[in-house]
Amino acid sequence: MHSYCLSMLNTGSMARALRAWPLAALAAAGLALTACSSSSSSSPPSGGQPTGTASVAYAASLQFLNEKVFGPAFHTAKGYGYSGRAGESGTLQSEISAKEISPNVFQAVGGDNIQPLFPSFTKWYVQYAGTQIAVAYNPSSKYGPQFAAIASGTKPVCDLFPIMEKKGFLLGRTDPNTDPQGRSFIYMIELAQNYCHLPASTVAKILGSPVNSASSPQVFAETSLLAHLQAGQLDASSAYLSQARQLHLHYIVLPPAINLGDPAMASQYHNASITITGNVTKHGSPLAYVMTIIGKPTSAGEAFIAYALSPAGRALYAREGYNLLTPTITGDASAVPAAVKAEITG
Amino acid sequence: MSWAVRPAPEPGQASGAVLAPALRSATSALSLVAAAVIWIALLGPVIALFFHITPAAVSSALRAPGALAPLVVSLQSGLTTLAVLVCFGTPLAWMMARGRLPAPRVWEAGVLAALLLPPLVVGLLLIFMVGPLTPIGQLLGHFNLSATNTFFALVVAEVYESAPYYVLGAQAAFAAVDPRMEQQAALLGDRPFRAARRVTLPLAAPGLAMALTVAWARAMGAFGAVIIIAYHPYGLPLQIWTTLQETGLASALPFALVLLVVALPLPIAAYLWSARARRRRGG
Repeated sequence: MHSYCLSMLNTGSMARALRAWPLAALAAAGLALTACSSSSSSSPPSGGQPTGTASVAYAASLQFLNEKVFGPAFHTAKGYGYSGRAGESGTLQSEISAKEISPNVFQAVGGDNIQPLFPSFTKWYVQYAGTQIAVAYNPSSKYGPQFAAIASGTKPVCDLFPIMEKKGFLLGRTDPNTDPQGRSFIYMIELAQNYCHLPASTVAKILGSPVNSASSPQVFAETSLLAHLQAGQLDASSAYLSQARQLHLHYIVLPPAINLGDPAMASQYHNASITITGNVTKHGSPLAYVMTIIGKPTSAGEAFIAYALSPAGRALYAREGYNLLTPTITGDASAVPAAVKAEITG
Repeated sequence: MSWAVRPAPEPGQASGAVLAPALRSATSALSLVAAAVIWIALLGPVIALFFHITPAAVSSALRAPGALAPLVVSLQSGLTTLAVLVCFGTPLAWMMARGRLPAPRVWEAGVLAALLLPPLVVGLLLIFMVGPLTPIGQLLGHFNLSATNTFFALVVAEVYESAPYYVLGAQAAFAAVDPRMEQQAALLGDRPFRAARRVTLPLAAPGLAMALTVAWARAMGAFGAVIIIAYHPYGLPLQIWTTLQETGLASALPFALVLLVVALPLPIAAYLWSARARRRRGG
């Protein structure tokens, strides 16, 4: 807070006002504090730096990266402000379609969450990074030593699934009807059943039946799932690899054939499927991040995407546990802003 | 500083102590404007709700298979929560009001601490307390109970979110009953329980009803602790949240209307009864 603001609040008149009109004085002090704090946070960049804010709607699995790492780095490097809003990719797409939100930039998991916005809101998207499904575990669980052996490669990864089948095993995952991670975890178990040549009943034994049930005791809100694991109240849970690294969890890396992290295996992932609310069947697909500009491009929005594609931006993604994918444009390439194209073509 | 309402000065008092009629009317007008502004502001979201739902949307949302199950869950868990509060919260409130507890400030601070903690934080801390691998969780497990993702967990979360409101409200209601009335009942031969039933509870009833009403509203709208330890079975607040995620705002808003329609009659009835009882007593 500016010292000017502090001196404003320390005057004797404030004390007199408090005695005479306590509520009004408190309200005035609150407004003064708000004005002071907002004036300090919204001061324009000095020295002719760019002004404006990139407002970004992004998949919740990017929250830590965008809010703690990428957003501040973007502001420092480019001078633009950053304002983020996390959400489930499908929900954000619905909100953009309904014009409930109007971000400059939209970052989603999977192009199928941007395609429905063609052509009214955007005509293109770029795939640029990815993540993969991992199994995070509780080292204090009675299965902790076995998990650790699998994580270190001492035991084969296929030994994981018979452990997860055991009666009383406390597995946590998210709701497949609302959360892509919840669906991806189910695809992973389905793929693992074939990959590890496990009995046909494995999926149902691990996940319960029906697998799409939102009321399974294994299903937690995305916000609380990893809190239950960190509090030592689960044996294992689903997680994105990037999340597990950012939160310093113990985790098991899964092979590309089942971890949904390799775009080259898209057709194999497609074999896994689940029917969710509304009788909609969803198929497995690579966990690839795509992004685009919504509506009329702004210089801040263009700069945000260009920075995410630049060597400096990609280094941040790699550092936080994301896979770097060769940037690939889908849709009308002529609609891609020049600043973004320049980063893609190098 | 005192927040007590002072009686109007009598005619003939020192002129400096009496507000001039013009100033008094200006103050009254300002107060009325301030009251109207805050009332409309508070009602704003409810008004917005009515502008953004249509009868067709409400009908369609409520006719969906299983759409009313969360309403039943909310009513059942809310009523169970009230029963728990009445049984366990009332004695605590009475003892706090009558100074029957050692170190009374410590007890009050404990209730206030529970009130101050954000519900989301309460939920996170409850994981450490009642999670399946904690001593309490394992004890519950022996009785085939679990305080994670069950109806029991929902009641636990609602009790934590609403209990401080009930206990503090009930304490104020008991404190407003003159202890000399209870003493006179005792002098006339009533045992403590009989005196409480015949004197204390009837006199405190309007205040207790209001406290219970506030607790009911908190329990019906509980979300922060609920989403952490009781993701299902869905009550109405979580139904609104998941519908918002699954099918968007238009489908979620009708359930907000259901929540209002179901949760409001009890508070309104209690408020009217309480106001009537106070008027009678005053008259």
